[in-house]
Order: sequence, then structure tokens, then C-alpha cells
Amino acid sequence: MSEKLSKILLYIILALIFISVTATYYKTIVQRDFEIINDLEENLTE
Amino acid sequence: MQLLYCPWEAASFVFISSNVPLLINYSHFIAIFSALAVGLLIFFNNPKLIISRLLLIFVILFSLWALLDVSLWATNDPALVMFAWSMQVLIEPLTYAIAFYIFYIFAFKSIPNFKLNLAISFLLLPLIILLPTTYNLESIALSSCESIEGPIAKYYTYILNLIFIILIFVTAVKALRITEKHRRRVLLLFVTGLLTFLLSFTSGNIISSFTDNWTISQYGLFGMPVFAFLIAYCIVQFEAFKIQIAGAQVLVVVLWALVCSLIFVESELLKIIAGLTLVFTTVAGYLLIQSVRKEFEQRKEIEDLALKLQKANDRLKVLDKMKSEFVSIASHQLRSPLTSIRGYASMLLEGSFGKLPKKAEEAVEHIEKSSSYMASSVEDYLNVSRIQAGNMKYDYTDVNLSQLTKNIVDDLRQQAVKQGLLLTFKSNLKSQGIINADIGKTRQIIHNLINNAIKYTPHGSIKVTVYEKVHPKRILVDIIDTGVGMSTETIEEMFNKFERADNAHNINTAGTGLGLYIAKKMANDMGGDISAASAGEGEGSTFSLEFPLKK
Repeated sequence: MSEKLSKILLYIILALIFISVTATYYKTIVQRDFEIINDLEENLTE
Repeated sequence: MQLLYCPWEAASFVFISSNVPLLINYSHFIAIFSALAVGLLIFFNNPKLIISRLLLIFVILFSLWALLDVSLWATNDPALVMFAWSMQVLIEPLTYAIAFYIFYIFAFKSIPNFKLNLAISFLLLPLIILLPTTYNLESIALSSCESIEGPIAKYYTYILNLIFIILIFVTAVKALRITEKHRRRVLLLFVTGLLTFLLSFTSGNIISSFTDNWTISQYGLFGMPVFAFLIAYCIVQFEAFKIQIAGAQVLVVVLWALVCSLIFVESELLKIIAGLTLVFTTVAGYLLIQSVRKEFEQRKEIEDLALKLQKANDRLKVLDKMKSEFVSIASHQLRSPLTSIRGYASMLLEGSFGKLPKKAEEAVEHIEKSSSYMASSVEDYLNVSRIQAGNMKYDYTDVNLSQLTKNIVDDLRQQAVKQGLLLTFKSNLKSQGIINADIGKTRQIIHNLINNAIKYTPHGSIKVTVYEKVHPKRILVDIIDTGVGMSTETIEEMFNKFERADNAHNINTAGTGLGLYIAKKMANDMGGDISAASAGEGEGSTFSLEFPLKK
């Protein structure tokens, strides 16, 4: 029983990690939704 | 849309950039190389073991962390820095958690209970849930391309790391108390390697995080080769994962990686030294692997053979027991009709059914003689099966050995005279010569020995002497004949089952080769012994029966 519950717990944690990583990827890489402190005298622009 | 980048050139293939110092390549790639070498070799040698799988996940996560770290040094894209940094924040405590599980399973050979798993899950929850938020990473400074850490990245991950290190330490103390001496050394080496790595890794990161000097954290990675080396040592020395060959390979691979990495050092002389060392290490490593493989294969072969022998031996024991049981049953079945045959033959000869014609009398005499021999053989087989089954029963009483021997000599004298032999008896005893033995069995032994002497002495004499030894107090019966004698090889084997002297067949064709075996076994069981001596074939023999004197 303890082993079964531990397995369920592991799957929940893995699912949460997957959601969290996806959200982080979406926020940082896709949306680029974070604050940039521009401490350069001249910004490099593309 | 205007995108902001850090003030250096973009990295090619995420990891390659002039912005990455040599030390970073040196520390990261050795660590990745040695970690993957250990993890993959252990996994592929025993993929079904849960600990092998966990170790593989552990080294993959660690390698991912190290690669993300290299990319952080190389890239000039703030988005990639924020993502990679976040992933590092997540991966680091997960690596520690897995390290704890690896050690727990290694030490106790079982997974932790549900309560402990639940507690660990709750500890990890804030980290997982708050990962995409500003509680983890607040912002990024463009000049250095470094993230400004929030409370999760700055404090919580390190608290988690320390909790897992403490958990491993407590588990190790608990496990070391209950394991046996041999395994204790393996556990100690394993936990030393693991804690060296985890402590150096976490302390490097904590110092870097608080001082904002991320070069310091690179030194923490040198704990990984130490960990890999100790695991490999455990494998080779103590068969910790039952894959000694892989252990030797890992040792060599790690050593090779370490030497190889010296090439990164900017000095021409060092490059030459490293190159030479590399050649030496490769040759030494090859020889080491070959020798370990050879030894391992030989040992495995011997183990397999021993196992086969054991099985064959067990099978033989069963067969021998079955054979003894069969002989016992068969002999019992034969004995009853034989008694009847002998009885009627004897009555016929005595004239109980009237006078027999001369020719018929001769035939009945043959029947009587043959059935007597057959009865004696059946009795021998029965005795052997009783001895082998451990069912031989002895009824101990006080026996006057000298008197008993004299009676037997008197009984057999007529037979000896018939063969033209002189059978004499002499007693040199000073005491009464009383032994504690089964009188029937003792009689059988002495009868057998003297009877043998008569059978195998074509002419001459047989002297039976009873005497005693003081130290230790024993009584002996010597039967000395002038018969066919025996070679030394025959003497050594003649007390075995179905063994007869080479020249015995010429004189007595009917013997079963069981008489002496039974006699010696019975004498041994009663605390006595029988020995034989002869000067050689044709030189006569001496058989000595001895028993401890009754105190």
C-alpha cells in the first residue's frame, strides 16, 4: 500500500514539474516576460 | 520589437563562445564525462536494478545542470539565461533528493516509507510551484547577463540541499550501525564520495550566490570525479554493484578524462607531459581491464563448475540412498526363501525324508552349499545398506574378547585342518580383556578375519594372538597368516566397498568384496579399528583388530 501511494505521489510530482518547466519556458523564451535591468551605457540592439 | 542582449558575441551551438573561460570547460566537462561514465556503465551492466536506474537519472540531471551552466557562460541572450538559470534552480535540489534515494536504497535495499516520501514531496512543492514566478528569479542584469535571484533561488534551494545532505548523513549513521563489518566499508566509501560531491557542489554555489562571484562555484564540480572514482573503487574492490569489469573501466575512463583535461591548460610543456601521461594511462588502463576481465571470467568459470559439482553430488547422494533402499528391500525378499531352501536341504541331508540316493545327496549338498553362500552374500548387502542408511544397531554388553576369539578359533579349526593349515591361538593378556561391544557383531568381525586368512592361505599356518597395549589402554587381536599377501596399493584400498585384492580372484572366486568393508565399519562404530599389513604378494598378511579396554 505504502509503495503504491509513493508511486502516485511520484507521478503527481513529475506532472507538477512538467507543468512548471513548460510554464517557465513559455514565460522566459516565448513571452520573454521578465525584467531586464539595463546597466549598460549603450544598449546592444538587433 | 527591440531585443536586448548582453554585451558580447552570441554563442555558437549554445555552448561555444570566447566568453567561456578555460576553467569552466575544464571543470564542467570532466564532471560530465566522469558522471556519465559511471552512470551509464552501471546502468547497462544491470539495467533492472532500481539503484542503477536512479544513478543514471542522477548523472543525467547533473550533466544537464553542468551543460546549462556552460550555456549560461556562453550565451548573450537574457531569455535563455533566465530559462537556463531557472532550470538549474529546479535541477539542483532534485539531484540532491535523488542522491538521498540512491544512498537509502543502497544502504537498506528498500525504498523509504510513504511518510518520508510525502515529507520530501512537500519540501519540493514550493520550489516547483514558484519556479516560473519572480519569487524564483526577479530580473536580469544586462551588463553581466546574470539573474537577480529571488528568495526561492537564493535561499530555499540551498536550504533543500542542506536538508538532503543532513538526511543522507543521518541515514548513513543509522545504516552503519546495523550493517556487518564487510559491507560497512563499502557504505562508508559510498557515502564519503556522495557527501564530498554534494558538499563541494552546494558550498561552491552558496558562496557564489552570496558573493556574486560565480567562478567559485566551478570548483565545487571537482567533487564529481571524486564521487565517480569512489563508486568505481567500491565496484572493483567490493563488488558493490556486482560488475567488477565495469568498475575497472570506469576507473580508467575517469583517470583518462582527468589527464585529458590537462590539455586545456595553457602551457606547451604541460601539453607534452599530459600527452605522454595519456599514452601511459591508456596502456595501463587496457592492461588493467584485461586482467580484471580475465580474473573475473576465471572465477565465474570456477563458480559455475563448483555449482555443477554440488548439484551432481546432491544427485549422487539421492541415487545412493535410493540404491541402498532398493538393496535392503531386495535382500529382505531374498532372505526368507533362502532360509527355507537351506532348511529343507539340511533336512534332506539329515534323512528326515528318508535315505537319499548317493547322486541325489551330492546334488542336495551343492544346493545347501550354494544357498549358504547366497545367504551370506545377502547378509553382506543388507549390512552395507544398513551402514549407509545409518540404521546399523548395536547392543552393547561386556565382552571377553580373548574368550570369544578362542571360541571362534576352535570353531574354524576343523575347516583349517581340512585345508591342511595350522591354526593356533595364543593369549598374552594380563588383564581379563573385557571390552564394551556388541557381541554378535564382534564375533562376526573376528570370524570374517580368520575365515579370510584361511581362504587366502593355500599352505602354512595362521596364528591368532590376543594381547594388550598400555598407552592407550587397548586390546588387540592379530591374525598372522603365511598366505598370498598384498601389495601396498591393495592394502590402501581393500577396506573400500567391493574392493578385493588383485590375487584374491585366483583363490576365491565367490567373494563379494564387502566383508572387510563391513567389518571395519562395524569396528569403527564400536570405537575400535582394523588395520592390515603385508610385506608384499606371497609374503603373508597380518590383520589387527583393536578395541578400547573397558575401564
